[in-house]
This record gives sequence, structure tokens and C-alpha cells, in this order.
Amino acid sequence: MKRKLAIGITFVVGLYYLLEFVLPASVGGGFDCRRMGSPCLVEADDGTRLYYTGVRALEGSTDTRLAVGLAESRDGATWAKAGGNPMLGRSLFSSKDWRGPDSPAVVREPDGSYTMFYVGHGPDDVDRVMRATSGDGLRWRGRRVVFSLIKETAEAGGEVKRAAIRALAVRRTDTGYIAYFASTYRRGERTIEGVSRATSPDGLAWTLDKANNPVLAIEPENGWEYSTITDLSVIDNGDGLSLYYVGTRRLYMRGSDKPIDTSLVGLATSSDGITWHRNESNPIFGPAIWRVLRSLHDDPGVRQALERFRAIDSSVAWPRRIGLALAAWSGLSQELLDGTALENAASRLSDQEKSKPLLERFDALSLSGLSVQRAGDGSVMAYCGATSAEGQDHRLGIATSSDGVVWRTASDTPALERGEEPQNTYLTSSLTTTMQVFLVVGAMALGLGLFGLVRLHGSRIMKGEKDSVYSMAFFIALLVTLVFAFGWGQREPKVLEPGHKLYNIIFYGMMESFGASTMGLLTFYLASASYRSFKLKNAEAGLMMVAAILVMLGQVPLGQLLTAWLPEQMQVQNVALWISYTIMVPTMRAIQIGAAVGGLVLAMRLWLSMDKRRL
Amino acid sequence: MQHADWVLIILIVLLFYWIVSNIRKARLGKPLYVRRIPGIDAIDDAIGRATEMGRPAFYTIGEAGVQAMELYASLGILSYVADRTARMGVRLITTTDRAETYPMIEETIREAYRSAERLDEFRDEDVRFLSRDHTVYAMLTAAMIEDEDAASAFFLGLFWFTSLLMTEPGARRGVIQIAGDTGPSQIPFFIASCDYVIIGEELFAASAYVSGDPTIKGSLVAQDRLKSLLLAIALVGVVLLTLNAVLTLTAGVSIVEGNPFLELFMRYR
Repeated sequence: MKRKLAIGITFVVGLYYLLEFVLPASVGGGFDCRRMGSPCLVEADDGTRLYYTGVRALEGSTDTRLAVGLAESRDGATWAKAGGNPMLGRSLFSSKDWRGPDSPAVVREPDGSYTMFYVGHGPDDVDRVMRATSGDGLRWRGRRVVFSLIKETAEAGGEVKRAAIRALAVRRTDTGYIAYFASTYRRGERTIEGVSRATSPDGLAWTLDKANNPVLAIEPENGWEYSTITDLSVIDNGDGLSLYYVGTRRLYMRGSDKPIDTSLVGLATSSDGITWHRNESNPIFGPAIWRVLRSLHDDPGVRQALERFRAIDSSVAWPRRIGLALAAWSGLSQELLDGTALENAASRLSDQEKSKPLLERFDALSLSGLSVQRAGDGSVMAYCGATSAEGQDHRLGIATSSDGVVWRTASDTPALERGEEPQNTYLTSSLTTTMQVFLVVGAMALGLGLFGLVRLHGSRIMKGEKDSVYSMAFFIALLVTLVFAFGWGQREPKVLEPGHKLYNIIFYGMMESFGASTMGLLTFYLASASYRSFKLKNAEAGLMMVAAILVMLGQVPLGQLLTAWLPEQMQVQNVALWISYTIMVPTMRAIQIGAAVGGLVLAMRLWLSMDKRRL
Repeated sequence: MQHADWVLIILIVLLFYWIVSNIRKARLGKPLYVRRIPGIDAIDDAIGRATEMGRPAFYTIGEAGVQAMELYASLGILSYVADRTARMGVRLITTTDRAETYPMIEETIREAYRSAERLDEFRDEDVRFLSRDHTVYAMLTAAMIEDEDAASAFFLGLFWFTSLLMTEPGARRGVIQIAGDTGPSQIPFFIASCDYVIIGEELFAASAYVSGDPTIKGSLVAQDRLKSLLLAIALVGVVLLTLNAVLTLTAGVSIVEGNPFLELFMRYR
């Protein structure tokens, strides 16, 4: 009966884990159910098209999937998602955009067809710019890599995974394509951080503008574009080019492991696309709370009130001043500031700004992607905003401007909502609970083990056996440790109570010191074991000895000195590297792959109770 | 939690098929080829030596906890070793560094003694919990091999940096030692100080190998087939990668770009 119960429990638990692994965590739902990002506005024959990245992250899973979706509008104000979304998803086969296409940059060709450039994130965590083409902008084909920063970074001795391409904007010109991309990569001794530029005559062969990159480097002294540039859009403003970019400052709040990205929009202009000048009004746009604070800051009444506050002088940066203004506005510092002036300032905010509680707006605290397009006499901007500072629920909104500098939101509701939430299969979401059950079972096993020890040593003492003094030592050690660890020694780490001091003496003073001294013994054991191994007992031992001597010599200057006269590839340090990386690494991998397969088969044997001796 | 994609699902289904088909073959009495593992063949010799010398045999599972597959592989071999020592009348001393594995080890040995009809010779004190501390456990293990004057010692399970501390004293005393670990980091130390070494997946195969049960041996054949498949994939990947690199450098042509099946292959290479 006990055996049947054990077999049954083992099978059910094993089946649960297998199904959890094989089945998805959720089914159905929209491709953009988690987040929308990286919009790209494109003029179409019958209105405006908006391509964007939809993010679907399975609940409880690290598997985040990206896809490019499409929304359409005839008037630029009302938007509807196109049927057949997503337009470009994760390929079953392609290895370079394994997580799906990201940051689409779609251009119209002279013949009316569409070319999409996008960033592909591979399983190797390397970003690559890829290209796909379409006759109608709906069905895409021929995806392939067109350029990456791998070669640049590798040649500079940098880690290829650190060669990040965060956003992409592509312009179609008479002579070909110009790509502007937000990136971080190494070139020589420099880290290129900001907006870089590449050109191509056909969209396939690209040339990085090495002489001028980055054409717009981040300016940490600005504060708001301190960390990175996360999205960008380039338009023709009539006199030249306008570059709108999202500058991000990553903040780590005290007491929280989660970073918060504070993002604001900046503007730079250029006549040649190479030399860019930042607009004096930067930052020009941001999330809803920033827009309200900016309005407050610009209000004369608030300025007057702030000046009365002695701590605020001209040397204090305006973000800090508006932070204090916010504190005053919310009643935190009424006694220090003239509350009436602030109330008046708040009342002068537009009706639109007051129509909905600030923190409930879809773009209240976070802003990520953007795309700008000329429309009639002004410009229109599609941007992604989120209600939370962590920015996990971005939706798409629209803003308009007459001069390209001062922007107003078209509505305080999003122009496009995220897709439907998927249906939970409950297997993955119940995993944490299941793990807790196993923790309890593990604790029970621990208790069982302790019970076994107490029973064994207790029986020895009761019987008065020869070595029962050691059993008594066990009980004394157990009691002492229990009292000092659970009792009055561990309550407050910074206050060394007597019990805590004894606890430290036992563990750090005695146990660790003894442990360290035994590790010294290991050195001598290594020497004697090596000596025995290097005896020329047979051909294998001889081969090992030769390899070991070469590797050892390769580590010391003497070896390099002895073989300096040989061709470079035959010098001992290079031979040692060859042995280590060409012979040893594949062998270790082979052992690990074999062990993984063996472990899988053993797990199946246990699950199916084929190996009944263990039950 | 990572979920399987369709390639992994195909591999799992293939493994299931191979296991079931080989079990069926075994049950029909068809011969199955199972490769020999010298380290496992030497287990009987080591126990025989302890019998001849009238000295105990020693066994440790290393530092494998209840969540380590190495524990279950080692328990299968321990069951075999305990059965042999019980029948030969050799005292078997076993140690563990974890309280939670103590009852599992004790019950495995007790069951082996029971099946050998020598339960009265099983001694509780021959299964010992030593210490959770790495170095203390290793030093006590080595000391026990010396104090109890063991003739043979088995180090089969999961081991960390203290492996040589456990095995070197026995090697100096001429104890016949058989060791096995699934990870590559401690294998060199075992090779330097032990007579036989069970490397990597051989540890998982060992319990099936010693069981003699044709059903379990069927799973061993499936394990070898999956390993052969992965080896073939690795070899083809190496050839393709090399060819692709040569063609890209010399002719500027990639045989992978645009070929969906080769792209897929490169993803899992």
C-alpha cells in the first residue's frame, strides 16, 4: 500500500512538472497584451499607418515574445488595429530574431511598396538590424540581417552582448537609406553611447558613419538623458532634420530592487544629419505628471512662492524645484510656501489636465517610445505611456504640435488599448505554491534526520556504550547551537549580545578557522596526487603529463621565454591556450551534455517507477 | 520558468518513444546492446577485496541533497553495493552530510540487507551523518576510512572542491577506490587519486547497469540513442559552422542566411 502511494504521488508530481514545461503558461490573448512600444508612423494611400511593437510576456515565465502590430487611422485622431495582427511575429526558424521583431522602422518605397527595418534579439542576446519587405505593408517576407555592431565591438575587444541597439529610425532618400539608431557599443578605447548613423544604397549593405558616430552623444550633465537614449524619430522639418529622442535616467529607489526609468523627450535639429544641436527648451515632452509639474514651474505665481522659500535659490536645478513645488502643491509644505499662489497656479491648468485624476492617466508616470510625423501645418506624435513608474503597461497615445516644440496631448485616454489578457492555464502560476509544499516536505525530512540522530545517540547513552561520550558531545553541540542561534543571540545583528558573541566564536572563530586550515592540507594532497598521476605508467598518463607541462609552462614567463624563438602559434602560451579552449572545453561540454541526458532518463525512470528499488 | 518550444517537445517525444520501444523489446526477450563501464565492473572486485581482507567497505554519496539527481543515481548503486556486501558478510560504512538524506540512505541499505536475508547484520551506527560543512565532512570521511581500516571505498554522487581531501588519504593507504561525479570539475582529482572513475552520465547509467533488470536496461539504450543524436547534431553543426565561416570569408556568401532549416539548426547548435 505504501509503495503504491509513493508510486502514485511520484507519477502525479512528475506529470505536473512535465505538463508545466511542455504546455504554455497561458493561451489566447493579444500579441500586445503586456505592453506596446516603439511606434512608427507611416503615410499610406488611405490615411496613416502606425506600426508598433507588441509585447506578450507569459505569466510567471521569462519567455517574452515580441511582434510587430499595425493600427490605421484616416484622420490621425481615431485609431483602430488592423485585422490579421500581428503583421510580423517570431519566426519558427530564424535564429537572429528569436525573441521576435522589435523597434520597427517602416519606409515607403517610390513604387509604393514597404520596407521594414527592425531590431532582432537573438538567443545569444545580441542585437541585429534586420529587414523585411512587403508589397502592401501587411504581409512581410524575406527577413534577413542587414547589419549589427558585433564586428565593431569584437574588434575593439568589447563584449559583443554589450553591443546594444535600442531603437531604430530609417529615412528613405533619393540615394538610398539613412539609419539613425540608439545604441551602446565599443570602438577602440571609446564607448559609443547615443545616436549613431549608418547609410546604405540598397538597404542591404550598410556602412557605419565611423568618423562621426555617435552623431548625438548622451549628455549625462543634462540629468534627464543621463543613462541612455531609448527611442528616436527623425523627420524633415523643412529647413533640415528634427530628431526627437527619449532620454532615460535609471533610478534605483532605496529599499527596492526594481529600477525606475524616468524618460523625457528631447529635440535636436540638424542641417546635414551629422551635426545636431539640442533645442534650448529640452526636455520638451514627458509623462502626464511631468507636464503638470512643468506647467507649475512656468507659472509666475509658483515662481514667486518658490523664491520665498530660502532653500531654493538659482543654483538649485529646476527638477528639484518642481519636486518641492509638488510637495507644496500636495499640502506637504503649506507652512513654508504661500499655498494660495500654488492653488491659483493649479486652478489655471487647462480643463483637460484636470479632467481626470493625474495618477490615473494612461501616461501618468512613464513614457517610452515615440514616432513623429509632419501633418498639415503641424506635427503629430505617437508615444507610449504607462501609469506605473516601472513602465510595464505601456499604451499608445497621440500628441500634436504646431511648432514641433510645444506638444499637447490629443486626449487623456490612450489612442490604442493593449490586447486582451490571455487565459491562465494555472500550471505555471501554481508552481510557487507547489514549491512551497516541497519546502515543507524537505523540512519534514530534515526533522526526520534530526530525529534519527537523536534516537541513535540517545540509545547509545542509555545503553552506556563505549563511545557514548561522543554522543553526549553531539547533544551538547546541538543544544548550544540551538540556544545561541534561535535564542537570545540573533535578534539584532548590530547589537552583540552575549549569546551572539558566543555564536560568532563557535562559527567564525572556530569552524571557519578549522576549515581554512584544512584547505592548506589540500595543497600538499594536490602535489602528491599530481606526482602519482604524472608517473609514466602508460601512454595516457604520458599524454596527460605532456599536456599538463605545456599548460603550466604557458602560465609563467619562463615558458614564454623558452619558446620565444618559435613561430607565434607554436609558442607555449598559445599552445596552452589551444589545449585549454580547443581540447578541454569541448570535453567538458561533452561530459555535461551526457550528464544532462543521463539525468533526464533517470528522472523518467523514477517518474514511471521503473526503478522500484528506490521506492 | 522557461517553457519548452517545439524542438524540445519533439526531443522529449522521441525520448519517450525510444524508452517505451526498448522496454518492449527487452520484455519480448530481444537482446539489447549495453556498453560496458569499467568503473562499474570493478565494484564487484572492490567488494571481493574487502571480503578477502576481512575489512569493511566504505561508501559516500558526497554532498548530494534531495533535489540532486546524483543522489538517486547513487542510491541505486548503493543498493547494489549493500546487497553484495550483505551477501559477502562485509561491513558497509556509509556517510552523509545532510540530515534529510540520512533516512533515505539508511532505508536503502536496510532494504538491501533484508532482501539478502541478512537484516540481523545491519548496524544503525554504520550509517553516519557527519557534518554539513564541506571541509569538516571531507576530513571526517578521510579520517573514517583510515580509522575503520577500509579495504575499498566508493565515492559516487555529487562532489565539490573537497573531493581530493576525501580520496587522497585512501590512495596513500592503498585502499581500492572507485569514484564518480556528473560534473567535470572534480573528475581530474578523482583520476589522480582513485583506481576507477565513473565519468559524467555513466553515473546515471550505473544504477541501470547493475540492476540487471532488462526493463531498466531498455532505458539505458534510449539514453545512448539520444546521446548519439545530440552528438550527430553537434557534428553537423560544427561542419556547417566551419563551412559557413569559410564561405563568408572567401566568397562573401552565407549558406545559413535565408535557409529556414539551417537557421533553426544554428539556433540550437
